[in-house]
Amino acid sequence: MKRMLFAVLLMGMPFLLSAQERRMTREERFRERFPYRYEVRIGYGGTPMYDEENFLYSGCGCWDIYDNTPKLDNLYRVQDGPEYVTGVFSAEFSMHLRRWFTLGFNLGINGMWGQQYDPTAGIYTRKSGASFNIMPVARFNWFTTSVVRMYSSVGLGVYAGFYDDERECTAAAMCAPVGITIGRKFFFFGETVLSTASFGGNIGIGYRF
Amino acid sequence: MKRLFIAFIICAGFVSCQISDSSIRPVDGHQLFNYSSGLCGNYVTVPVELMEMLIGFDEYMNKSLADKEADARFYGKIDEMSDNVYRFNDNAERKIQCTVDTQGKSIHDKDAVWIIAHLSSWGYNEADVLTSYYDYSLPEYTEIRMTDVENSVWTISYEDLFETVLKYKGQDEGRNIWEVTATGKDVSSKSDLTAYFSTGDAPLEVKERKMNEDKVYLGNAYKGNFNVDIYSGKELKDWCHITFRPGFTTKYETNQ
Repeated sequence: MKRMLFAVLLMGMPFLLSAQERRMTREERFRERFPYRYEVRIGYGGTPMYDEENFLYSGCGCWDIYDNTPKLDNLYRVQDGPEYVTGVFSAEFSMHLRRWFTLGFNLGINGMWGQQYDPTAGIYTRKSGASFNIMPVARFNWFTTSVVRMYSSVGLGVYAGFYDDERECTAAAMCAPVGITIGRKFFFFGETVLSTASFGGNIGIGYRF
Repeated sequence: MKRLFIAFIICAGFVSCQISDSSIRPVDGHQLFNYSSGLCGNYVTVPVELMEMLIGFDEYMNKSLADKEADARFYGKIDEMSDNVYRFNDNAERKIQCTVDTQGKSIHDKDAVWIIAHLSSWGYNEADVLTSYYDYSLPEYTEIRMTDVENSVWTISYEDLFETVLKYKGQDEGRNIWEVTATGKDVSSKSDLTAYFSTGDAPLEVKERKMNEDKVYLGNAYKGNFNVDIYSGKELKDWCHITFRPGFTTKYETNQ
């Protein structure tokens, strides 16, 4: 029985070694076509929904002079004017660890500003703020040619922001179901994004080295 | 590629979007008029309609059981919460919800004092004061005091916040007429602003609101003035003077 088992193992060894060799070769072949270890990206996009919820809509200008109950505080209510955001700018540094896996560190920044009016004092004041997202991103590359790469990615990190005298710090998460890069050393990228920082699409450019 | 790279950065720098479209609107004459007519509604209209309802309620409470059963306005709609404390609605005509402590007295008794535990009044006001939805209330412990039995005068007041004196003047084509003298203030809880209101030198004459045969309200007819002066500390900041002219549009003047 022992002899038979030993014989089977001996017979199977060439196949195991061959499979290992094929994997190594595939990775090496990829490295030949894609010799970059690192990349940096800058991007822009998405609606900063989390910021809207946290800061902008909470202090919205929904002052209602037509409140059905007559109150002096309604008449002279501090009013918010239109509010603006820059949109989320992002920067990322990534490491291509495997053909199929890239680990990145992403920083996203959104700027916000608006105006407020105090009818009692007759004073206009400017409000401003910013929010930041810092998160490691795991990117799974599921289609690779020498020019085009397609991927999906997920990330988990920290969100911190301020607007006027409000502060917020909490967990942040992102998911990009589909992303694409086109180019070699310099490349463009585009991805759909569902994240606490932004919602929608994210586009940008990058450099591999 | 580098040029594209630079172009992208430059373009992104100019990108921004507007999130909320609210606009800033400094206090103007129209807002002052809306606010002032709201005060008039709360401290003139509501007291008149409250008195109309309480007098009806008082009459109902003094009726025999058989007569009570025949009274569709109040029968089956009154909860006695505790001794002499009654809660009732008058949704049919005036949309008033009221809880009142009668202290065991008729509202016509000399020195009668009824205490409001809760009062809210809401609906669409077709009167020439307001043509929009309103939602008014009076504070808990607002007093309704019979102050002159012979001349049918009642005073509704709450501490130093307001005092509305209502004098019953009789009827005109089935509609009760009241002379109302109201004074009071609305104090800001967030600043040093205080609005002082009054019906001026002469009482405001108010004709009771009733439905006509087509179930359309004949609005309260007002005749007189209602003035609001808003002070920031001791400095007069804004004012609005309303003149009611029965049958004609309501005039108002403001400093804005």
